[in-house]
Amino acid sequence: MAGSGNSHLRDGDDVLLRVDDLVVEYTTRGPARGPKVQAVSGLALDVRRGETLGLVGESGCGKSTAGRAVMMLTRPTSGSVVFDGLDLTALGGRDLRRVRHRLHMIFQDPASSLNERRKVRDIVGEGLAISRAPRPWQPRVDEALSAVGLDPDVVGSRRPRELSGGQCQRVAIARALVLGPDLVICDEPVSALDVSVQAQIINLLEDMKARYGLTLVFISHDLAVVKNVSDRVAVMYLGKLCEIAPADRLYDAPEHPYTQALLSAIPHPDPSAAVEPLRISGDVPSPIDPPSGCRFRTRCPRASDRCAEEEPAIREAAPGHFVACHFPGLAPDRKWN
Amino acid sequence: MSRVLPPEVPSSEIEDPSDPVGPDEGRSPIEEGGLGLLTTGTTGAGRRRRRRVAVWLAVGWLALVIGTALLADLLPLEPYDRIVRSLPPRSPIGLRLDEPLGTDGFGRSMASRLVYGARQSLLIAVVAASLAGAIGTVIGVVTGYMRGKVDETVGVLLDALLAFPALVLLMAIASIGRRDVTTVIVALSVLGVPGFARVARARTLALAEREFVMTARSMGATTWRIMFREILPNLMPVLLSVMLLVLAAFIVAEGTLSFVGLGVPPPQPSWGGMINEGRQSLRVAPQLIFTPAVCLVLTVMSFRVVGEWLGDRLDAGEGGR
Amino acid sequence: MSGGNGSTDPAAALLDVRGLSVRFPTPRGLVHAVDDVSFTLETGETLGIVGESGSGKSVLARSIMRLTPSTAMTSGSVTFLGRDLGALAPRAARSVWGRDVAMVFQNPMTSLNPVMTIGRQLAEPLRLHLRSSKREARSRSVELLRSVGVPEPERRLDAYPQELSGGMRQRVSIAMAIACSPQLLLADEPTTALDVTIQRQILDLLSDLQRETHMAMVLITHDLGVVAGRARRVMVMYGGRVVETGPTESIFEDQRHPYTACLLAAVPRIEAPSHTRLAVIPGRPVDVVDPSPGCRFASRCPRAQPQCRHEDPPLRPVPERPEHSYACFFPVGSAEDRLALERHAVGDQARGG
Repeated sequence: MAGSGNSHLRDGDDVLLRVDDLVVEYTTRGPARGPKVQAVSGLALDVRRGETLGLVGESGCGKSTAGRAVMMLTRPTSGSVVFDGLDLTALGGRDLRRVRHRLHMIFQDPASSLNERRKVRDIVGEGLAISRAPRPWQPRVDEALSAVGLDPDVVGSRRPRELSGGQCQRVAIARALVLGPDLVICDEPVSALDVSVQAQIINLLEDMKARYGLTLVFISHDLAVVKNVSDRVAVMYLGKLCEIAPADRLYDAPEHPYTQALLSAIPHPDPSAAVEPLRISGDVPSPIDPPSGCRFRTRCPRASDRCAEEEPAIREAAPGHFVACHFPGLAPDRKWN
Repeated sequence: MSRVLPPEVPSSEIEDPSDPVGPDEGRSPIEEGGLGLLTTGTTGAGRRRRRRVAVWLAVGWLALVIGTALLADLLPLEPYDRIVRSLPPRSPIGLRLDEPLGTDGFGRSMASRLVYGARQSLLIAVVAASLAGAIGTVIGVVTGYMRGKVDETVGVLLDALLAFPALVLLMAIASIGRRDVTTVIVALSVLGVPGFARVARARTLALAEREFVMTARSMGATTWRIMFREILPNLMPVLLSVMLLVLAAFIVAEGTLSFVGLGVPPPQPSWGGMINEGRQSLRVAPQLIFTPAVCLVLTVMSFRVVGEWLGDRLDAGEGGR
Repeated sequence: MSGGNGSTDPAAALLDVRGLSVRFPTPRGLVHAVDDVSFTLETGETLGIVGESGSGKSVLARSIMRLTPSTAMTSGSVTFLGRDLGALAPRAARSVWGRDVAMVFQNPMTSLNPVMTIGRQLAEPLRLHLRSSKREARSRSVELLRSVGVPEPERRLDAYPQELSGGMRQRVSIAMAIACSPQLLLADEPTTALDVTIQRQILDLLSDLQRETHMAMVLITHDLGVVAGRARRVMVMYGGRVVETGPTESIFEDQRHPYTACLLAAVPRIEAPSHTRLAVIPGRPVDVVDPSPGCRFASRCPRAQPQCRHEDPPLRPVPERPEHSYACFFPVGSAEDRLALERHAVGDQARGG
């Protein structure tokens, strides 16, 4: 489990987003001010321009919180978020607002992310209104709606209540596109949709990325979906980074036991494939009091004493492939590929 | 697995824009059928029809009351403070066509006093409810969205107000000022503010977590813009139905004030005042109490019926996502 | 719909559903949630029911358990161990639910009562059906929790549902369902709301339970991967109807119905390299309100012909494998299918694409 460690971060002019030692803490609510929980503990990530970074993990791993911290919707407790050379954590209100239109976030629940009392046209044009972009706005709004596959004349005056989940998500994507952002963070954008609609939206995101030159961060718990859209994939557990590698490589040759466990748990739509033994036991420990040393050790088949004492730093296992584990390596008896 | 797959359709052509509005993914017909259960009760269509009849009756009554109150000056009514010469006091209902509701204890026209009384009651209730609604909503939205010290301090004040028994509070405020319309309106407004503030705050708390608010923030919207252009419009439907219920309560409250002698001073008529005046004649001429009382009850019931129906419809509209 | 669903002797079947239809009146019209569904289930067998929203799979499960709202109009028969469940008096019916037939629901947050401790909720079926005393119920509850993999079961008995994680809650729900050793378990999307590793643990648990107690299971899901490994037979539903049913291998290797083929093609695969383009089904699944005759999938089908929009396709068995049936006039891979595809493409051109 990565502790500190940013040896996997890359340098270069084309690095659009660089997150270093990001910590997001919050106090648990309750009758007494509860203990602090670190949803994200020292996360380091980077994304190159035009790349899609996939961020996977199960619930409680902190991936959504990390996404919101990058968007500065949740104030990071510490650490830096450098976007195109600007440290967002150091910016004040007005300066931050000036940069905001270059980052956008798409959320999981398509209905919840649209204001029910507004018409679709107003929703999509909202960003333009907020940033006081020069009028006319209508052509830009209509263009964005057409780009996502909706007919502006038909859908423009409807309200979210009259649209399906897939259509709502398209409206959310149009709303992102109309501002011409550089970075779009997608937080579980297809998890709430039917399978057949999921495929449409995934293809749409890929098309939009190509057409508008976007850089994407794709957060999801669905490993197959993430592999499909990403160039690089990072795996998180209990607020920390486990492994990061190019997408194909991560799925073909995972080194971290947690990644291997995740992959072994996925049900395959292939009845002839034998069910792989599950490489993980127990439940996720409470984030209030995470295990010492490596956080994954309580469920890891390879855990040893060293894992309890020392938090593993992230290290390069192969070119571009980084792992945070004392005993990385291929799992025995992998069935597919 | 070499099957003949359907030809790939470019993603931009997929959505059929003329597709009729369909339900959401994941919303099962059980929920829809269940929704029918919520609004109509267990017997479905029959209950729904009866409810609709009730709503129409309520609307009709309210239209009558509001209409006559508005057009009072144009109606052929005796002035409410003049004694009707041609009839004795406490005349029964239906004795004469030009005074169908008889006269009160002093011989004044009941019909006229009812109509002008309606105007008085409605005016006071509407103004007070609007005032309470406006102030309470703003307080609720601001405290609900900004939280922190402001929320805590204001919360304590509002809770203190709510802790007073409504009637006691009302009478206390009403007895401080002069006995006139303004005082009554102020008293009622103060009474109504915490209620609105609570409702507005609760909904604001829920809405503030919604992703569309986060999106607005992420696009650089200021706090004020979010409060008044994102959150407030979403509060409107709920507030409207609450307003109607509060209107009903205020009409009763004003009536109570008049009944105990703290309301609008005579000879201005008000339903509560008329009930108070009719007390002495209960045995001899019960219609002096019952006529204004019936009007009061019908009006309040009608407001409630319409208010609840509106609330259900708006809820179904939002909840039926 | 005629058979072809693999049952050799309907009299021996554990569960026999024939012609089940469920309709709801709604403000929008009459919703045909389930339309003429028939299937059988043997002892110890697992049937997977796959479908998206609007397919009717959840309504189907609930109507077997008679859990549909009172406005629902149900027709057809559900026979369990020879008894017609629909004709049972309420008292007799109550002895079946929770005891011989049990159900596990999708959302563990809402399927447990938040104001009752786990112990009390677990004890409920035991005391009701097995007439256990309080002490017996408690010790059996501890056993049950242990069997479903809940650590420190004695402590958990006094906990409330909110204190447990989603995976734990689902285990408790399963413990409640199996408390009286039912012969049939209806699992409605039991793992959808859970993390993938927990999902796997729960599914393994259900398989283990089945092996030990020879319990039959109906596993309802939208995830084809889940049924691939666990169900011997699969039933694919769309728009309230069964569009294809048969042995799992047969369905996955040799789909006949276009919807099944499209569904399998639209799911992203782990084995596929990144950035593989997904095959897409145009449109979206819709609820069936006052439907006109014809195949329900016709509006989205890449090979739809005029016949498809006027006639209801009956379930037909695959000639070489009669347990596998499908409801389509132009099944995938047939000669008619190729013709249909061509005609459809031509029709598209004529209409201006």
